[in-house]
Amino acid sequence: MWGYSQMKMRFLPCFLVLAACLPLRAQQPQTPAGKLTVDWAVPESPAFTVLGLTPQTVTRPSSSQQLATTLLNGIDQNGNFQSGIALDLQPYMLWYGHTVSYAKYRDSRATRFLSRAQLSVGSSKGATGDDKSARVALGLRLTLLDKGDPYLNAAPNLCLANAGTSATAAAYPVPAPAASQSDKDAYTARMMAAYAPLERVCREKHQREYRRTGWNNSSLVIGGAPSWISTTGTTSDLKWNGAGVWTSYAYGFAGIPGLEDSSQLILHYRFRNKEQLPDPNQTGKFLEQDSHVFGARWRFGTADATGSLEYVFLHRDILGSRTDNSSRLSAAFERRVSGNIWFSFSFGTERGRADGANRAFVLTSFNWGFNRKEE
Amino acid sequence: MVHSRKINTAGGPVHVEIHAGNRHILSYRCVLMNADGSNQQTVLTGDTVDALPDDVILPFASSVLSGKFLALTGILAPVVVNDTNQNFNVEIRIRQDGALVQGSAVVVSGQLQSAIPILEHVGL
Repeated sequence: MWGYSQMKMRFLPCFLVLAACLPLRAQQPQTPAGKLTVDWAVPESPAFTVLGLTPQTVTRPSSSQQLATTLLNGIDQNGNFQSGIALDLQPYMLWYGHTVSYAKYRDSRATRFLSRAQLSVGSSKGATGDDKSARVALGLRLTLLDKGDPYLNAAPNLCLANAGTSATAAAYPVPAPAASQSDKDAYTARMMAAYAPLERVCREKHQREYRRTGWNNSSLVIGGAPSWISTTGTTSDLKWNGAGVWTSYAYGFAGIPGLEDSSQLILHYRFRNKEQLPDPNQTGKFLEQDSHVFGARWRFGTADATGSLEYVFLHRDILGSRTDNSSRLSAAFERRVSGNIWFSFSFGTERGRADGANRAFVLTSFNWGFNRKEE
Repeated sequence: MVHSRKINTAGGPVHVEIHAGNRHILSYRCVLMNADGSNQQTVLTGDTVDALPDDVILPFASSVLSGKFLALTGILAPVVVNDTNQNFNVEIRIRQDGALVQGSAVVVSGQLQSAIPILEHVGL
């Protein structure tokens, strides 16, 4: 029978191999996050979300990757340095993707729902004297609505299909089965040469259109993740660390003139229970807390420059200690500097903090996101 | 690549279906030809995005089709282009009397990051 130490020794190489072999989607530095920070983006990695390590960068849900890893090094919501790894996969696409044709995905709600489902496993390890804990989480993210799904955007995909049809016709006739490999290569090269300029037109047109109208598409995602913690950092001490559930809904005002290309309303709710947090007053001790986060944000502007108003409310129950209700009201301005690099400027005020440290603040930052390139 | 799916010359009509998995876009042309590439006849053309079916019953008797080659050529394009490898698979399903000839479809699979050409021959 396996002991914990044997399991650790066997699983550790698996993780290292996965980390080394799989393409990294994003290796994003963390920035210190205030207690009231809400990750407005739909989480890329549900496991990291419940571990409190979701990157603050602007990201969108990706429906294209069936398997990916994410590495993070940074500071969690409680100010402790953490390093972690998450493995994310789309189980349905990974195992049944070969059966999912474009038409089946487009025409079947059930297929879309299953294809978008994302499962993740993540672990993080504290690296400071105050927090040497190790955390593990499983996560599930379900996308119930995604009006920005590129697979449902008929025009650019028909454009690509027509480009392929034209290129195939241009290369006709087809080599004989016994033709030499060089003849077959010459044929496929002719076909691709005819396709490339047509494809470029399709993709550039789509990209322009998406940047103009797609930044505020409606979407609805729910997620949940159980977690475990070892306060000593060893796997033999792993114990239940509660779970988190959350939902994010973005409304893009589709069909409402004047707003459909210029506004987006995002509502976010997150519940986290039995979370073990390092006690700031006693090194090596942990507090247990339940927390609710509710946020509402109104974004307005264009794909390259947006303003926003947001309200965030945080309710915390710290077991055996206190209840803490605090809120933040802020305004922000973001401008795309180039590509996926954004400059942001925000200001606001906090109220209700138990430590009495309510403050007005002004923040500036550069954020970057790893979005689908064609968008 | 050249594959083989030997049909029954005494069997029923031959049904060909094209399938592209992983949600990619396949624009294709199916051509019947002799072994030396002569007498090319396009029996099915289209793409996997439009609403038209991607299958056809070959308009020839099985005895006539035997010994001929069916070529599938076209371009397989991912909807989303990014820096990651994406799985792809294209299947040529050849059925006769309701069953896959020789028990399986011709499958071409691998990974892609951008559009790739497809050229497969199947000996009937």
